[in-house]
Amino acid sequence: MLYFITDLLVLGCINSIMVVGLNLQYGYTGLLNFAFYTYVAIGAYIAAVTTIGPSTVTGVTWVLGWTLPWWVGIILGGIAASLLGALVFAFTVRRLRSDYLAIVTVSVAFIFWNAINTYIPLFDGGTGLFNVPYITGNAAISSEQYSGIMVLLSAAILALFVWTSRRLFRSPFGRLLRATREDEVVTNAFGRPSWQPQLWVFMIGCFMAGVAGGLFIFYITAWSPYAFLPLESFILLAALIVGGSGNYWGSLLGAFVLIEGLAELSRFIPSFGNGADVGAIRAIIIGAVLIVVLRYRPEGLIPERWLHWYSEAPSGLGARIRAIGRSG
Amino acid sequence: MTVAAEDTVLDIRDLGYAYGGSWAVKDCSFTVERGQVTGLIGPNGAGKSTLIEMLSGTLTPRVGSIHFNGRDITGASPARIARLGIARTFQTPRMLARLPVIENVVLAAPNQIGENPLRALFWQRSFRVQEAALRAEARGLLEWLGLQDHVEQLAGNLSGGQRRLMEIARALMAHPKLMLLDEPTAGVFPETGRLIATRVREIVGQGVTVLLIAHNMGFLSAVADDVVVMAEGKVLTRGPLDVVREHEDVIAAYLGSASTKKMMASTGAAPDPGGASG
Repeated sequence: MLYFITDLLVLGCINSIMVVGLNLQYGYTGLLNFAFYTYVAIGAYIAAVTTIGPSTVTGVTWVLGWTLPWWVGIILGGIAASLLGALVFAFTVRRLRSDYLAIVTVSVAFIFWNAINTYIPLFDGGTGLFNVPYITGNAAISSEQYSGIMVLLSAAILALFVWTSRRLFRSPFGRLLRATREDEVVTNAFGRPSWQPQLWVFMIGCFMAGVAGGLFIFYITAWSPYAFLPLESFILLAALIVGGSGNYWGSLLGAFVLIEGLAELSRFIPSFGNGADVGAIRAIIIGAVLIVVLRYRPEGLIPERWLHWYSEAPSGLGARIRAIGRSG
Repeated sequence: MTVAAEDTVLDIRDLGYAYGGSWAVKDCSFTVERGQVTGLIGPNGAGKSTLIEMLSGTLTPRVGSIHFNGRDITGASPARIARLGIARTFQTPRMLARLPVIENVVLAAPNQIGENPLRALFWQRSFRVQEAALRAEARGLLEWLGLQDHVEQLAGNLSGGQRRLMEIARALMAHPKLMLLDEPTAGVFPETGRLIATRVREIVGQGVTVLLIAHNMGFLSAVADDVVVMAEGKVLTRGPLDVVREHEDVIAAYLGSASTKKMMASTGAAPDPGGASG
């Protein structure tokens, strides 16, 4: 039972990191990124191949094959995802209106998925990476103990990223992000080329995605193209919209309620028919919840707080909850 | 074609812009003098708003040049033009709807050190003082324009007239040398229009130059030192409002039609295809 809870918490924290990163891009800045999970995957792959060492199995190949410490791998995964994000942004987003951005990111997701799935020397193609070592190395440790360690690590990183997004949000930089989201013509007309803050946020959000991917692969110890089907990005976006975009409490709520509450728990639905039905039901439930929320509460369960980021206002958790109650 | 004289803020020469094949602005030349309110009038489709969009960098001129304080800004980006000291309002007010009014205004202030994400993350104390000063300034501007009861309200909830006032506050927050006001009194309650007129005169008193588009003759006579009349993409005439409104070309342009031919002849222009729609 304890393992069940810690396992759920690890996955919840990792998913929350992703949603917090996506919220920076979509919630704060209005960049609709349907390829978000691609950056998670890049982070996972890079974290693995920089720490796992060279392949010892015939026919199984991957690039790099370094044996760096796990935490360096996670950071490198984040940086790789961030640089890839910058590259995609430089080639596409900067020249496109936000309407088209969604389509471009969908294309990016498909290009990367197919390239990784097909080109075996890169990350072992469709078979993927497996037997990725625990971050505890060779120490004898049960999977229960390992999930306990990973809860602490992922919660700490989640806390760091929530702090990051809170600091960014409550600053003139955050104001510029929201202004860009509302109307790029205005920010440009007042001397702020909108691509500059957008590029920052795209890179920071992708860094968070990459770190989440690194944590993910060190926890589940394997990764393949079937771990990052394009549907996953959609689920993250659904979690963000249901929870409430534009604030990190909504992100966290969405990650835990939608992804954890519905998706992970649905694994425990008694099986009937064939096993694939459960996955289908999961997708149906998420789609239905999204439709209902968009119809009856388009601002999400916790709407964006817009008043008083500045210090004149009361701060702290209590004041924030009261404010949520008022604005609801 | 030398660069402008010292008291010329804006020097527009032979400017032209076409949407598709039809010229909205063509062979348009005039200057805006320092410390004056220059009104820009003309019938619908005269090219006034297209001209403003070129001056603010949103549209790139096909031909001609724009000099601002002697510097060539033809085809520069909106952000660069803004940083050089030109602030604007929009024909349809553009609100950052989900931001409070005060944040809409503070946003426009130049050189905000807190817009650096690294400072936002690691050194928030470095911009506290500036932020407090900018907020006080924005609050003062909003009160000065009669919006003191709406400072913390979401900008998307403002009425039409309040939006125009907020846009003026936002443009002033940028500390401009030149303000472009695109129909600041359109759809505004007369009382508010008079407030805007008073404030525009006070702004000019502070040394800011203003170029504004207006249709309301009462408003123009209250604010404008000089009026430039445009029709079909060109400058028809310019001078004090009392003089130009008696000008027969102006009457023809406004009343349209019967005397169009005569107007064309007197300005020496050949009718160009599609020009009427520009």
